[in-house]
Amino acid sequence: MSKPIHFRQGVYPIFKQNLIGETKGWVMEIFSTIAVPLTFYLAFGLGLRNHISEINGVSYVAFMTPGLIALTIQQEAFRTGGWGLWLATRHHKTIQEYRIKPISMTDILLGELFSGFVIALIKGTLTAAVLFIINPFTLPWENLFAFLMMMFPGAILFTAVGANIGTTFMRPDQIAQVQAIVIIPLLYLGGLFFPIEALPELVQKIVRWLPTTAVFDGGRQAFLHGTLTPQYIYPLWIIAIVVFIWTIYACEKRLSQ
Amino acid sequence: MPVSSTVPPSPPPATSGMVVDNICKSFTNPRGGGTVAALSQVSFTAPMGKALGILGSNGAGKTTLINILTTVIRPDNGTAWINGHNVHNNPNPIREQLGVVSQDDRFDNYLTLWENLSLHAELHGLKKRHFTPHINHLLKQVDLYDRRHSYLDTFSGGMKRKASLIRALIHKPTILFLDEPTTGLDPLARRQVWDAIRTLKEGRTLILTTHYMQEADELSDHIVLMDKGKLIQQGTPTELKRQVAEQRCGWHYQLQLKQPVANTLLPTVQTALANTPGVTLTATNAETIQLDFSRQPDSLEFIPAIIQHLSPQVFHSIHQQLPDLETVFFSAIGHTPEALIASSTPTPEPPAHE
Ligand SMILES: Nc1ncnc2c1ncn2[C@@H]1O[C@H](COP(=O)(O)OP(=O)(O)OP(=O)(O)O)[C@@H](O)[C@H]1O
Ligand SMILES: [Mg+2]
Repeated sequence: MSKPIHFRQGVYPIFKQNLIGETKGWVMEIFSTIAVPLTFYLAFGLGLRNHISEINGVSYVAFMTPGLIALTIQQEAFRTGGWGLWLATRHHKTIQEYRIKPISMTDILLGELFSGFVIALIKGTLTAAVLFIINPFTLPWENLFAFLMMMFPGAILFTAVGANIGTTFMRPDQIAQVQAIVIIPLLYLGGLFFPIEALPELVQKIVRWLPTTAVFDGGRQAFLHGTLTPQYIYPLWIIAIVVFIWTIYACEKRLSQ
Repeated sequence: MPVSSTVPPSPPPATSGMVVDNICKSFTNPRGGGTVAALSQVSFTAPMGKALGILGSNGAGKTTLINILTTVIRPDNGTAWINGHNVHNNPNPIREQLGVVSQDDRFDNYLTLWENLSLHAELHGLKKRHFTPHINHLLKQVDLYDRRHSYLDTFSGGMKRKASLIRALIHKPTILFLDEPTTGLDPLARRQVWDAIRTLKEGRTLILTTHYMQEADELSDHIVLMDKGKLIQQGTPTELKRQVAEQRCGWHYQLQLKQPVANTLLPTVQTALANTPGVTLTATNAETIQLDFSRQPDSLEFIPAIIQHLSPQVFHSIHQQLPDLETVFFSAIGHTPEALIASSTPTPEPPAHE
């Protein structure tokens, strides 16, 4: 299945067009992006601020902040990968149209996934900007690289997972069901609102295996302390890369039938 | 149904043209819907530079066949070659030459027409400075220039069809697939598209599906008739009509005169046909004499004989009366319009004739 990648003729135009599509109705896009993290921030961060003293040596607001940025990135990665590809294959059927162009299926998928990845990071940046505007807590710039090292594989992984779901299911409600049964628990059990250590021993053992724990808990450690925990970063990158490559292969097969 | 390996045993044909060899394709419907054999052992050849019409009832497999020939989906079995290139093992040389108007318009409805069209130009490797004037020219031809910055989801069905046609032409393809290109168009727009297709036929290969028989008749050089995933007949429109004429309608010729003298000329024509047995003559109007043969005439010698007996001032033309393509279609799928009406009427009346 080794086909050449046509970057300028295939990957880039599709990537660019998806980004242009994302800028349509950008005001609503911004509001819808920040609505969820902002709500959590107000409800938990500020609402519980005086009831929760410090967690792991930082304020609860500071504890939550990296998680909310990561949440936006994961959710957007899943949305653009999953719903984006579902729309492109089932609704607009643009994938079928791209198929008759002199490019490869790999180009098409790379264009779609890469745009999902970039859109997720842009929206994560947007959330970060809004949180820092309203939050006295300042960005630890020196930790940014470490934080991004944890966010990139998370975004790759969730775009890829989304792409698999978006190309497997025919109906939109099925995607919504998968989102409710798999994605939401994955996102919220990964230590977004609480320290993993607070969980019972047995649950902790399971939760530590979740890729989202690596993203949220690992991401927080990178963000707050600049530390890259080996037990998180290596498996996360490996899983992200393996799942990404498998996704290209599996989606290619699925969409060629 | 034989579904074996995807690699065909036969070598690629060296000739130019389209070769469809034993194509099979089934779809498994999700949620226990069973398997549908969309195409079963479809084989035909079509020369380049001609227009091929693919006709068939709903669900006959036309779109599936086009999707296979345009490299969108793979067949379960069998192969297709276009100009010696295997459609599935080596699709890109073919894709460079393909223009496709698909049945479902396949646009990103949340982008403008211009954004959609320029994306497709870029996917063909065209540079903006080259494709911009060409797209503008095409847009003006179909009256969509003023709507180029509108979102596709604000377009009517007919406007989307026109937009699809433009998209298929951006890169000046040599092989054009048109899957129901005029469905949803108003009569004027349909005529415009027909005219456009006639112009496009010059130097191009056209593959057209349509449910408008007149369209197929006027635009196709060769016709493939499909039903329930199978190819059931093929030939030029005239060949197909002749077959049906032979099987169902009998042999009828019409002698057209330049003057209203049909009745007076009947004996002369009778004399001319002295050596042609089994023919009845009727003056159907003042300028027309109809020749009804009880069986296929042994030869067409009777035509020069008639011409010899009539003066050039009187003789206009003689031609075989053929059924229209719609009759061919109904005949091929085993229905007559009367039978269809009868089968849907609660108290069946015996058909008036036949
Ligand atoms: N993706 C698919 N999944 C399941 N079944 C399919 C799929 N595509 C086509 N079919 C089935 O294959 C058969 C042929 O469909 P196709 O679209 O090729 O017909 P068609 O001749 O183009 O019909 P129409 O004139 O209505 O456009 C139909 O029974 C259809 O239900
Ligand atoms: Mg069809």
